[in-house]
Formats: sequence, C-alpha cells, structure tokens
Amino acid sequence: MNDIQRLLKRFALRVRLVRGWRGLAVGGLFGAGAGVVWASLDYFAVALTNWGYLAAVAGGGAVVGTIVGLLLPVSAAALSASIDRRAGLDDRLRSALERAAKGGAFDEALVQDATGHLGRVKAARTFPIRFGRWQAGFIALAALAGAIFLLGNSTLWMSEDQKRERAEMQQAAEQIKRIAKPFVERMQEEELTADERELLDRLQRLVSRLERGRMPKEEALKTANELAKEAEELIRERFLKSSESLKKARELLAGDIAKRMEEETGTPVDAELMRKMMESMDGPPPDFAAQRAAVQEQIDALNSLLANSGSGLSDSARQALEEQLTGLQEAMREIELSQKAREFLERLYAQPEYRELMEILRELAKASEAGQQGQQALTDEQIQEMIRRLEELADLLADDEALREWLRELIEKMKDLEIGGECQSCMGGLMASLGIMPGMGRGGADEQFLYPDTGYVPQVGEEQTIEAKTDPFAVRGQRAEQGTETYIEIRGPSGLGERSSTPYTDVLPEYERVAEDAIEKQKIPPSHQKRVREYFESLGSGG
Amino acid sequence: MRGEEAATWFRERFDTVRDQIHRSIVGQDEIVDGVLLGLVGDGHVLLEGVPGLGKTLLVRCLSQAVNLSFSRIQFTPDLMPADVTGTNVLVETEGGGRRFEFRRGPIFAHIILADEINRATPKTQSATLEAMQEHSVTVGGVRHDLEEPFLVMATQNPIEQEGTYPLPEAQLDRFLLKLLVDYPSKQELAEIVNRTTGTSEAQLEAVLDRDEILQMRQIVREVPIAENVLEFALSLVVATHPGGPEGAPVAEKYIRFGSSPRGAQALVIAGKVYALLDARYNVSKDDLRKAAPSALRHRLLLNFEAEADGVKPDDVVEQVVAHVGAKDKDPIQV
Repeated sequence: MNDIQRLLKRFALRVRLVRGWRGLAVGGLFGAGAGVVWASLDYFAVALTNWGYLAAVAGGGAVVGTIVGLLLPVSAAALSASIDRRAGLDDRLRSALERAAKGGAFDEALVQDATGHLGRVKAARTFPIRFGRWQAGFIALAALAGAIFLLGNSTLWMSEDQKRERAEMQQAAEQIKRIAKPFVERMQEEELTADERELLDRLQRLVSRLERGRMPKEEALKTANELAKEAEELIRERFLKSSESLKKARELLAGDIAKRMEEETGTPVDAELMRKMMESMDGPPPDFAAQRAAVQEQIDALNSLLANSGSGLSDSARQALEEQLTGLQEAMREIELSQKAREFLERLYAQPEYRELMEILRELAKASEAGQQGQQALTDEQIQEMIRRLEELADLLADDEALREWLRELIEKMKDLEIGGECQSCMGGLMASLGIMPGMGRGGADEQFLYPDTGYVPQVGEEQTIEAKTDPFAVRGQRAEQGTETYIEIRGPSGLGERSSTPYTDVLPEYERVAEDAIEKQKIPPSHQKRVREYFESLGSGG
Repeated sequence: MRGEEAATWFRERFDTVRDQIHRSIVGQDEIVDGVLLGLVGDGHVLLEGVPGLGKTLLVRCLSQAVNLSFSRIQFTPDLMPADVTGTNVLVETEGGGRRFEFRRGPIFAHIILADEINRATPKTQSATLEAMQEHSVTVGGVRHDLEEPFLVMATQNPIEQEGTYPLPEAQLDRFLLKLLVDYPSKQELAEIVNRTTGTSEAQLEAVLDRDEILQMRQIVREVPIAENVLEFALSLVVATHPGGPEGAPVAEKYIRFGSSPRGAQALVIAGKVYALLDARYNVSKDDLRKAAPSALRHRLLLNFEAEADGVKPDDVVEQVVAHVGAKDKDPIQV
C-alpha cells in the first residue's frame, strides 16, 4: 500500500459516513412513505396501526438505508476522481493512483505531488455532512404520516356521540381482551387446526380494532356474531372428536378385557358384548336367571309345537319355527356369556384401580356429550385432576403393558377435551363481553337488524326492561358447589321482538315433563339438573 | 533527468522563449503560447486573423528566438508546387556531362511561414500537405526527408475571400491547432505604437536550439494522462459527431462532420503542454477544456443551419465542452 492509498483510507471512511447519512435519509424517506400509506389506511380503518408501528416502519427504512450506505463499497479510483473534483486537485490524485510504480519519467514526481496535495485536503470539508433534500423529504413525509395518523385517531375533531361510541368500543375491547386472555394464551401454546388458528387471528384483529375504536358499531357487532357462531361450531367439532376418541378408547378397553377373560376363564367373549356389559355395570345387575327361564320357556314351547304338529305344518312354517328356535338358543347362549362376563367384570371391578378407571371413563363420556350440546360438564381443573389420576393408574397397572399404553393414549386424547372446555368457557365469556357492547341484547324490533338470521339470542349484562307484553321473570342459575362454570342469563320472550301467541301456562306441563324425562335419562348433566328443576318450579309458581 | 527536474527545465526554457518573443510581440499571450505549443508539441499551427495583427511578425520572432532555419513562403495563386518543394534542374558536370540535380525549395527549413496559405491553388496546397504530414517531399519519384524539428506556421485572412482557395478539410486537419488572432487591447495597441514608431528596435536572441526543442518534445510525450481524463478527451471528440450515440445536441443541430481522431491527439498533446506549464505532471480535464477551442475549431464542418444562424465553430465547441462536462458526474454521489 503506497502513501496515496493510505491517505485515501480516511477519505473512504468519511465517504461511508456520508453515505450512511444519506442512506438514512433515503431509507427513512421510503419508510416514511410506507408510513404515510399505512396511516392513510388507518385513517380509513382498512389496516390499523399505532405510533410504534409507524415509527418502526420509518425507523426501519432509515436503519436499512444507513446500513446499505455504510456497507456500499468505495473504489479507490472513484474516490480519487471525486476528491480531484471536490478539492480541485486537477486530476492529480487519479493520475497518481494509476501511475504509481509504473516506471514512467514523471510517475514518481506525480505521486509525490499528489500526496502533497492530498495531505492538505480535509476529508470533512471534501465530503461534508449536509442537510439536503433527502433529509428534508424524510422529515416531511414522517411528519405527514404522523399528521394523517393523528387526524384519524385524535378525538379533537369528533362529535360527542362519536367520542362516546369510541369509548364504548374501547371498553368492550378491554373486556373481551381480559376474558379471552387466558384462552388465547393457552391456544397459542397448543397445536391448533387451521380453522382454529384463523378464528384466533380474527378474534385478535377484532379486539385490536375495537381497542382503537376504529370499527363501525354495526360491523363490530356483526363480526362478533360471526366469530361466536364459528367458535361454537369449532367447539362442537372438538367435543365430537373427543367423543369419538373416547368411544374408540372404550372399545379398545372392552376388547382388552374380553381377551383377558378368555385367557383366565377359557370362555371366549365378543368385545362388543363386553362393551355392553361394561356400560350396564352402572345399573343394578340383570336377573339372568329370570331371563334364562323366560327364554327356556319359549324354547320349550317351540320344541313342543314342533314335536306335536307332526306333518300339519307347512315346510315354510316349520322352517320359520326352527329359525326362531335357533335364535332363542343363541339368545340363551348370549345370556350365559353375559352372565359370565358380568361375573368377570364384577371380579375385575373389585380391584380399586379398575373401578376408578371405569369411573373416569364414565365422567369423560358425560363431559364429551355435554360439550357437544354446548354445555360444560367438567372444568379445566377437573380434567387435569382426571389426567393426574389416569397417570397414577398407569403406574399402578404397570404389569399390564397393553393397558398402560392405552392409558397413555387416553391421556393424550383428553387434552382435546380440555381445550374444548377452555374454548367453550372462553367463548361464553366472549359472548358475554360482546353483550356489553352498546346496542346488543336489548331485543325489540328496532334492534333486529343487528342479528339478521344469526339464530343468536342477544345477551345483556344488566337487567333491562323487556318491551313485550309478557311479564318478565328472573331465572337464575345455581352455581356448582365447586369449580367454575359459565352460563348465560336470558330474559325475554322466546323470539326477538315477537310475542308468544300461546300462554306459557298451557305448554308448561309438557315442557316440564320433557325436562323430567331428560333428567331421568341423564341427558342433562348432574350439575345442571337442579337448575332445570328450579327453573320449571319457578315458572310454575309464577303462573 | 528526473521528472521534476525535466518539468522545471521545460518550463524555464518555454518561459525563456516566450519572454524573448514578447520583447517584440505585445500581448497576444494565448497566441504566443499556442505557437510555442505547436513547436514543442510537434504540431503545425494555423493562424487566422485580419491583416496587420502581427501574425507574420510573430512567426518571424519565433524563428529568431530559436536557433533554427526559417523560410517564409508567400502563397499566391501563381505559386507552383515546385516553388515550395524544390525541383530537379539540369546541371553540367565537371566532365562536360549533364545531370539532374535536386534544388531544395523553401520547405526545407525547420520553421516554415506559409503566409496567406489560402491564396495558393489547391495543387500547391497539396504539395505542402505531404510535407506537413510526412515530414518529407517527393520530387521526381525521389523522397527527400525534412529535418526535424519541422514546423509549418500558416496564416490566413478571414476576409477578402475573393480569389482564394479555402483549405480543404483534410489539410486543415493536419494542423495541430488553429489560433484566432484578435485585435490588441487599447493598452497593447499603445505599446505597439510606442515600440514601432521609435528609434529603437528590439533585437531578439536565439535562446533555444534544435536539440533542446527535440528534448522538450520528448518531455511532453512522457506526461501521463489518467484513464478518466483520456475518456473525457475522447468524449469531447465523439460528442462532435452528429448522429453518433454520444453526439451532443449541438452537434446534431449544427455540425455536418465532426472531429477526426487527430482532434483527440491534438487535445491530449496540448493538454500535456498545458500541464507542464502549470507545473503539473499529469493532464487534467481543465487542460483539455483549455485546449479544446484551438484543437477542435478547425476540425468541425458546420452545416448550412449554423451558417444561417451565425453560429461559429467556437460556439459549437463551447457547447460540446459544456455537454460533456455535464455528463461527467462525480463518481461518488453523496
């Protein structure tokens, strides 16, 4: 490296610095331009932003521009030619750079001359850092972006109604956010389906827009309704999936127990029969003796008929009787097998581990069924407790490898149920929080446009007068003894803005009978049975 | 001689000759420098100016200031080529025999003053052409070399064009520079009157000999030129080409034919001399800008539109230089 190249190094550094300064302005200009576009979109509520994002866009552009400016290569030839021009060196530097060590008559003198001149040139004066048009443009565009953003977000230019509406929206957003927070956090940790992910994204977008109060009220309500509907569908799918999983799990367990019974007793039992017997274990033991006697009586009667009829029966009639007889004999065998299976299961259930396992399976089945019907039978804590118990059982049943493996799979599948439960809980809360929004849940013909064909019943957060010609009754649910549950109180006529043409006292007995029937058949979760009874009792006393 | 010493010596010798000439010539600094540039740059010079501006005197002074042979040829319509180059004459030998002997014409000198060259016929002008280009003359099939340094200083009168034979482009192109001699200023005129109407007359001394001139020419050739500066010189020439990819707008409008490659050579040679005179060891773009009018003005053939608009070659050159200068951006834009 000769003297010229050494001297050029400080100029190269200076050029990088000046380029960085210029790159900052150019990059910032483009960033601020993007900021202007974004702020404009924000103004029209197409894509919302905030000060942080706007600053990040402009600042990001400036940073990228600066880096590019600093990293751009500076060739010695270009640098020397530029210094020649700027410092008035009459092309000495460039000529010297080319001629260095070429052996010409004037080369040495030329290099010395150029070096001498270059030594007297100040880098800062040759490449000054100026506030030019790029910098001015950057600042102007950044200011413009800020002004547009401010114009769209400041309440200074709003009417009182607009301010109030925005404040209400923001309040609703806060509540949605607070309620949905644990659910959203949990969902983000879990593996979600594409639909669930999309729903989550849309929910967050809704919250974001509401927070800023930049969403028309009608659109907010419509979106909230759509989200709630889709969420409910997804919850149902979750529970359906878990229900199928549990059903399959039960079948697998029945097959395992049937195999075990065959190994221990030498009696082969069909897995389906075993499953039925497992399901009947909750109830009182069937009277196998009576069943056998009844079937035997029919068999005897048929045998007698066949023996006494002689040739009086047609071939077809005889064949039908014989088939009936075969069926009865088959039924007799099944009763015997059922009895043996029942006895085996009773022996098995005598072991506390199996008894507990069956108990958990029953609870899970109920929870899954309740979930499909839009109810929540098990809380998150309860499911987690079940999982813990199943894990303990897996340890206790370590000798039975197949059973242990089955338990592991069951635990995994229970997580679906857990998420579904959380989702359900959250959506209940979400719907409740949306109900807080102004204009929702009041009912009446003038509000109907908010819920066109949605099939949703609006909810309210506080007691309101119903504008229908019916006497309002307060119906309150009872909270469970333990755990938490989410429920929605509905006050009002059966249809929005409509009157019931039939006095409810006429239909109450029928509804009450159906409810009792449902309770008897255990279609209503135990935690809600009491509530249903009280509901009808209150209706009755009110009538 | 080391580069620095050579350049200093060159400058001293140049200044010495210039001072000597200025003992007789008042003002006309650019013209004097241009004539000397032709001497040390190995190029012929065409001086154009109205009568009485000292063109002939200038060349005569030059011939007195340098220790070289000098011939003055007054070009007239009846001047024949042989009058310039010389001719074979029949002479008697001592033994009574006869033989042809070549009698050298006035072209056989170091410095030739071709006075009013446009008054000679093209035939005679062509005879001079070969001498200017080849530094030799051919008579009777025999080539006769001219002794170096060989320099033609031609003058022509831009007025009184009747009965003249304007120099063809090919011949104009052979002049390194074309210098326009203008009227002296009032102060210069006063000095001229004082000098020429008094009793004393300046006696010039020969301060530069042939070897020194040849050495100066060698020094000029050794001045380096950077790539970007050479590129600038080439751009100037290319910009004079109408219809070319890099032709300047003014070339499209006013030029019929642009400069030949000799224009670029002239620019660079002149630039090198200017660099040495400016105590530099490299050619700069400013040197080329300075040389452009005298090196290019006689190489541009303007069209009728230029004639009609009263546009002079110097105007065109000025615009070409401005055009190329504008395109020559700072390689580092910050």
